[in-house]
Amino acid sequence: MATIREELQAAVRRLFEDDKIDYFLGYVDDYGHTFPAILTKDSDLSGLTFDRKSYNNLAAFLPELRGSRLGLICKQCEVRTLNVLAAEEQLEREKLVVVGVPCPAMIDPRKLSADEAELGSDDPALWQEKCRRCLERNTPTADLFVGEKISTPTPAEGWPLLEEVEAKPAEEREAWWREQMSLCIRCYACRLACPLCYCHQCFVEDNKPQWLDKSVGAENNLHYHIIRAIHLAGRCIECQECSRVCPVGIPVDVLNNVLSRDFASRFGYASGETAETKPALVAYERDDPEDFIL
Amino acid sequence: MDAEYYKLSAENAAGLFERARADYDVVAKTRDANGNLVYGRPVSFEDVAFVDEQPPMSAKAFALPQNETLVRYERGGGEIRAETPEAPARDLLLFGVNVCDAAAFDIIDRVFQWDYLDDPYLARRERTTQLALACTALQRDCFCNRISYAEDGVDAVAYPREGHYLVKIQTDNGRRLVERYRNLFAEADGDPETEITSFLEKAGTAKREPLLETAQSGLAGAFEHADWEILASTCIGCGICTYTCPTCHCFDIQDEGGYVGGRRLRTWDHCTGRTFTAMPAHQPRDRQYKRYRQRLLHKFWYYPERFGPVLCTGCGRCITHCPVKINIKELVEYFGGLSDAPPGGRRHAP
Repeated sequence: MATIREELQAAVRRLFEDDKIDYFLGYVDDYGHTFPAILTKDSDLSGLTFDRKSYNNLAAFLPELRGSRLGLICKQCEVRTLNVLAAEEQLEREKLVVVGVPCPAMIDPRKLSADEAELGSDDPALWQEKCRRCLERNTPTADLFVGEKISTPTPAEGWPLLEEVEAKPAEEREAWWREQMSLCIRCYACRLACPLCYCHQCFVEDNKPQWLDKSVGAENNLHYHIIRAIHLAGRCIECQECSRVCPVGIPVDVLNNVLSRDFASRFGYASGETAETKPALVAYERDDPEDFIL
Repeated sequence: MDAEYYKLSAENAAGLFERARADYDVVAKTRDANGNLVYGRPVSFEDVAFVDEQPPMSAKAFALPQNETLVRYERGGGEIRAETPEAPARDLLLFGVNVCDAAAFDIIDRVFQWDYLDDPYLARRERTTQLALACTALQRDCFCNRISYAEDGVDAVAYPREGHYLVKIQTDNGRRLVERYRNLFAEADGDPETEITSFLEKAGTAKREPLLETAQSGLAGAFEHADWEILASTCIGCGICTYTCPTCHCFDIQDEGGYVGGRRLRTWDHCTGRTFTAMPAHQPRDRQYKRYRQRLLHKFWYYPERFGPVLCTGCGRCITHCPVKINIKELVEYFGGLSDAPPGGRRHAP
């Protein structure tokens, strides 16, 4: 039986041969890492793969390739991102070929030992938190699907880290956040890896007026992270890329998760659930709760 | 100076740490609140982490902090008072830092005293002593074995042996450290240089095929290479590679504050970011791959051409922490003409 790697390479080769796409956005592995790559019809496809280290949310590269006919691998993170981008009219869906894959869940890179034995394990405790709460493992919106569908459900957990943070008494929680924020070096990798932070100019780069000092420090850093979280309210699809890319290990997504959970519990809303899902702050229903209005 | 060799027993290493804390501001590897490895100021020897693994942030911030106030001003009572911060009050000891981190200072010293003497940086450097700890094994992403930089600039390197460290003293600064705590150090016996050579061989850190000598001429002809676009186009333009890099040293000058008071400071900046060369009317590096190319060529072509060593110690942080795992070593080999295969098999349309 063909491996997913072989099937994927054959499928992508066909897409190029049939002149369906100009570029393919996928993952290749080399030098011990799996990482995103933009492939052309002349590329050697032998590195193309999909494995448990295919972390990046590939939708983050869409603005770079806008206008091209593009094939891309979509695990559920990308599926939900494309749904939000479509609702926000940021997507040329007719130019995309969505290649579906069975998602084996990503292994938390911080739990990988040097020999990467964890990659062979199916223990959800080793997964990234987002994968433990993911409800769909087989790309429902795929134009073509490679590999064999996975029928095992995930543990469908909630937000354990957020709950752990919330369980702290207020003072301790504030100290915890202050500590986390003091680690931030403001490389802005969280913003740049985020597929929904697509503003051409971010408020942090404005200098007239300058909303935010360039110097780092717990206060300035918190200012940045809170504004980013609010800009993603009801939009974040919880791909957790912000936390994964953070070089100093700040669980950035906890801030976004506070809002995601509120949208889920108060409005029964999950961002990017379907292509028809309107962004929460745009959608209006007659029976929306209004108990906050005095 | 000629190198000197000493033995430092494991017990005396603890004694050295405790005694040095009275005389120096001691920086060493330790764990932060999240349990992650960092260079910090452990208060006891038990809190010092003796591991090969590097903290995500290098030790450069101790000579070139991410933010540094250059002048502070205050207005009041009809006058303006301005003051420049004073030089550091204490000597700094980098205790057990990675050799690649310690070696970086000697490389960037050259740019900070090239024509303009950068006083705040040099004041810190003058008060810094390095006691580096050699790694026992090369790790996945690091490639110091391919970088021919002068580790000779590191004050002292400790090589872990059975129950003791073999300490090689390479500078006057290192010799002063030994003299200060002379009773903790014993004369090394045998042939220490041979012992070090076999240690490096075993660890995989012995030098082979240096990237500089072999790649520089190739890189000099690769500026217009068509593959930059495809190989570097996944760069997202964050500052991780440069901020974690022990040798990246570009900075920006910013003013903060207003009419009644404020400060002028310098902050780290990075060439991979889209605002770095942006001017009101023009952005000469208008695509991301051009910004990535600048970083690579600065390190492996422009800097050695002007100052001698490559602007890299092979620590591999820019690979480990890169969100898209761009591999500078592989790209130097490819664009420098040492390898025909682009990383990940990607090629540009001919």
